[in-house]
Amino acid sequence: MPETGPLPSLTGSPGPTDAMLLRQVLERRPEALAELYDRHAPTLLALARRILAGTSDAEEILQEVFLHVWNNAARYDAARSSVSTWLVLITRSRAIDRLRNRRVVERVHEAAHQEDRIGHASPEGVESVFFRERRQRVKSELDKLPPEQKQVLEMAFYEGLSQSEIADRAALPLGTVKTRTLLAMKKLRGALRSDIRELL
Amino acid sequence: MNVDPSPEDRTILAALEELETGAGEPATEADETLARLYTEVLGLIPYELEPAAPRPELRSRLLAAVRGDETLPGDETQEMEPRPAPQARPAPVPVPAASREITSRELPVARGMAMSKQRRSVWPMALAAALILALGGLCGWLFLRQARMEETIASLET
Repeated sequence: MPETGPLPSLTGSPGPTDAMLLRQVLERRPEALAELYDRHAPTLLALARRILAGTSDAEEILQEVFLHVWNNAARYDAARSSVSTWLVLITRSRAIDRLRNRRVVERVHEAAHQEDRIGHASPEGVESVFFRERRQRVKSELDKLPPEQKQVLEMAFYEGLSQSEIADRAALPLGTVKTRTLLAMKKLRGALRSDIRELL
Repeated sequence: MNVDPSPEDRTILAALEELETGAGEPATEADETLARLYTEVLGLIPYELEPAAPRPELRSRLLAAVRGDETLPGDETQEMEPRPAPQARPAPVPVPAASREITSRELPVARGMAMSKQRRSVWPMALAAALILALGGLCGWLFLRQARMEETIASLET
């Protein structure tokens, strides 16, 4: 399993990379899973909450994701993604499956707005300097996207909608949706070059 | 989009589609690199979100679960993911003998029991009926015989 790039620990000091930790998980070392959890759980929980808009469900998904990692670490393919992206995609996929099963897409929008008003539980210290900087860069680049491009990207990523479904929902031609998505993805790829390089 | 999508565009759309289907294999090494780049773009998107601290007990529960499992090999057969609790089987309700369905395992014994019961109830009845008929016949024959004898006596008297 190749390295996925150096990644500092929560304290900011250099620690084992995610790939190293995943190898240790394969060797059935719970402390490696705990370290991966400490690094990524806050972002993954935020993602599950964003998709599901329900704290208890989101935490359940988070637990499922790390149990999946414990049981299926051997399935990770370093050629396809970094460990952090693998975790993000597992979380997203499980949360969207849960969302679809419940058929509560409309209710989720409502709840998401409510949750925005309540605010997120993000105590100080949950985020390392490394992740805080990454978050600021990603947020800033997403905010720079034209709203219509950001919208289609969010509908695809957080709601699991296909391009055709986005076109239906937004009452737009499919070609327009595809163009907006492609432009957004290309801009992000250029803007987040340094982060992507760290993940390769 | 009115023009044919470029290879890069196809890769981006495939990366998005792969999120849903989990399928899709890049054809060439260049495609693979491009696909990887856009997969990482997607993986970075949730970093825009404010991180959320999970409840501490969630971590403890997770670690307790894996610590109990650490000696087991980490393969597909060791599935630890939470499953719905098995529903308690309802206690078997006693069924009256008459309405109870006979299972195939108990069928020969039951049939034998039913047949022997049938033999016990039919034969005495048949025997009794035969005896009654025989007695009835005998009585009838004796009655006719007596009547004939009375006729003979009467004719002799005259």
